[in-house]
Amino acid sequence: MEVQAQTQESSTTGKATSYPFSFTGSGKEFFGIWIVNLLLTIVTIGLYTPWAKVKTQRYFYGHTHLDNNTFQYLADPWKIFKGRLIAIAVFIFTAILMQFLPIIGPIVVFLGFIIIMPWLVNSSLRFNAVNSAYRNIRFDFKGDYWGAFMVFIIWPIIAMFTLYLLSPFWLQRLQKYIIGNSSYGQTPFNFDAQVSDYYAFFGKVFLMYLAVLAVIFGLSYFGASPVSMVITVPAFILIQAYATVTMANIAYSNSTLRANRFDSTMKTLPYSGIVLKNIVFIILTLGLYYPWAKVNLANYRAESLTLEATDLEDFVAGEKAKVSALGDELGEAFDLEIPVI
Amino acid sequence: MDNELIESEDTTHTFIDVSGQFYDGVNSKSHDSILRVHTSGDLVISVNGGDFVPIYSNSGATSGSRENDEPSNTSVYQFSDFDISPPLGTMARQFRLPNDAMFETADHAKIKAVLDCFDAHKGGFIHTIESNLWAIILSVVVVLAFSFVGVKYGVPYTAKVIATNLPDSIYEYMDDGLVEQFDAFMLEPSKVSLERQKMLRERFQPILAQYPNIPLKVHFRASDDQANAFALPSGDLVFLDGLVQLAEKDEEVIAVLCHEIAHVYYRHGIQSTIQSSLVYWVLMLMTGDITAGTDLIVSLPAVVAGLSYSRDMETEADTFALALMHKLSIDPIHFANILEKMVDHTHLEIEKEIQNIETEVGMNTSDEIEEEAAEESCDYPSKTDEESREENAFLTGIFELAERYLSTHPDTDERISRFQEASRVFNHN
Repeated sequence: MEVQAQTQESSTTGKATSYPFSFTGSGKEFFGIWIVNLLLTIVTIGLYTPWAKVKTQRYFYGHTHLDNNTFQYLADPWKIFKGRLIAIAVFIFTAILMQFLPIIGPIVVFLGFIIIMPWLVNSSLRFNAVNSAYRNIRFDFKGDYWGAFMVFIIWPIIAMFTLYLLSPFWLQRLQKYIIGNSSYGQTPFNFDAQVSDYYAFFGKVFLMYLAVLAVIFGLSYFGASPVSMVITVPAFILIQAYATVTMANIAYSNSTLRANRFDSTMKTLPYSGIVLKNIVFIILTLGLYYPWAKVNLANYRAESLTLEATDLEDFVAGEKAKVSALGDELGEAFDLEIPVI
Repeated sequence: MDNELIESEDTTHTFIDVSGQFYDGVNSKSHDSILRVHTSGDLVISVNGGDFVPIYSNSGATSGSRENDEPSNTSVYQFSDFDISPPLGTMARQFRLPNDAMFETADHAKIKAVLDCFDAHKGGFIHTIESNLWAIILSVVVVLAFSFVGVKYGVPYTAKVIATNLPDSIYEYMDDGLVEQFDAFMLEPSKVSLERQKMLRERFQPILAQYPNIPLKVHFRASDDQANAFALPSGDLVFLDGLVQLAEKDEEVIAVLCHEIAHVYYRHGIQSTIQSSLVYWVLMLMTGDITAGTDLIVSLPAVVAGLSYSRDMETEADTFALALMHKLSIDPIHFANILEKMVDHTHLEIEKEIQNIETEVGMNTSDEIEEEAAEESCDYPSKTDEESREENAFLTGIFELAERYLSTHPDTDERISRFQEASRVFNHN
């Protein structure tokens, strides 16, 4: 309620300024970090991966600027390491369980997975949020078990049984769950995308596929089906790019933090241009272009994002995280890398 | 008062001033500030151009608005209380205090001076490697060599070991009615006469009987005019009418049978599945991204690697077929002959298609058509059509390169000459 009141107040009194995001990482510099990460990963037979991950994340967060300040990634690689060890242990345990209990085993494992999954997803989202910071204020995630149960288990089932006609509902609920339960310090994010936005998006993608299919059928009717290959592959890449870009735009542009609104203006053509350039160069360099490719995408991502903000100064840190109990720590460490947007 | 005293007593050499941003960790304000680190370890800070004051462990005490409050009963932080973020590229570094306050600066010369003073470098070794040209070159060489050896030999070897050690019951798991599914969507009933089918089955029988542990089943089907055969991991061997009609002798069909048995015998289908998951796992390690498989950029090399494995498996199947034909006293020339006929057959098909296009659309797209035709013929790709791309040597080069590395099968000419060579040896003995 208090937040609501504040929102009203600042939106009427404050004057919004556009703060552009920018990315200052360089492919050349990241290359050194990336290749050494790979070397150490190889030398340690993979044990180095948590450290490699943290370094990569730190690099990309630390070079993302907003109003002269950067973001920070603060995860402790040891926690991720412990989490991965536990994940491997659980995997081995379930494999043994399945081996010795051929009929009950899989059922137990399946049910166990369903029961534990929402908790796992929440822990992972929370782990990522609390380890992300801007101006020394951490983000947070406070989704509850049943909320996660709905969007990760119930809604996918509903969507499936309605021939995916209700998928836009599912997607809207999912993004609302993830973004709406996130906060910056004590200030929660608001997510106000409507189901109609998603239906419009799904409809357009559907029509695009339909148009391409019509062209394919048309060409094959005139006996020119091989030509359609030349048209359809780029067409599908473009549709894919459109979907990626639009999903991100919907998610960002409908997120608000108090009276501050994000504005994402990624466009299909420039985005697919970058993707195409990345693919070509990665092939020509036997993969060594990968760091530049990642930087190119981060660059475009940042430069198409602005924050229409009235104030960026008065956000208050959340309660200091309590010393984690063992169970909590394990949960935090199961880093599932759920793509938020 | 204290600060002024210190300042006036020791002038330059006993402290280092670092300018940067101060965040109290309570709210999101950033303060321009100067951190002064004394050699004694005492920390004082000037926030927003104010006086230098000690940083107290009471978190509110040092925030810009309350810097004049003199909190009682609170200790003063020392340099040793700092948790300093390890260096990474030229990024700003953070000095964190236990009360969540943070000082951030990108003045690397000053940072170095301070860290030197307290001998507090950490994470410096890896950072040195990351920015050292020779270390990077060495890393590139090691990583490329490892990836090459790992992907070229390690992955197929591991997949082979796993696949061959699976119990024979694996074939039952593989039998998931795939042939019925093919029948519903892609394959038509065979038009080859039942007598001919029966005759062929009779000739196949003693060969199939040599592998009692593998549930080999032969099916005759048609798919347009395609001359081809393929094996499913379950042991189902499908012969298409085009192939049976092309064969002038039964031995030619038997030669193909020998090749297809090899795919089931070596469990190539299972191997490919294991290989592709291993490759994705390797790529995940390399990119540090668990969703790497969904990324087109990352999945392309996986596809190229998969094609390379496929070519290796075809060569292995040829070797198996060669040995089996020797054992059955069948001249290897039959395999070469049927391969040649299949190539010619595919060429005829392509020419027909080219004519169609040229008359109806009026453009020359023979390369693309051929490419597609090569994809269509799933088991034995066509020979290159030299004439159609004489015009452009560069494109031809690229195309041949692509054909070599983006093909599911080894070069057909090489395969044919291998069997012709073997035939010479066979007849000589």
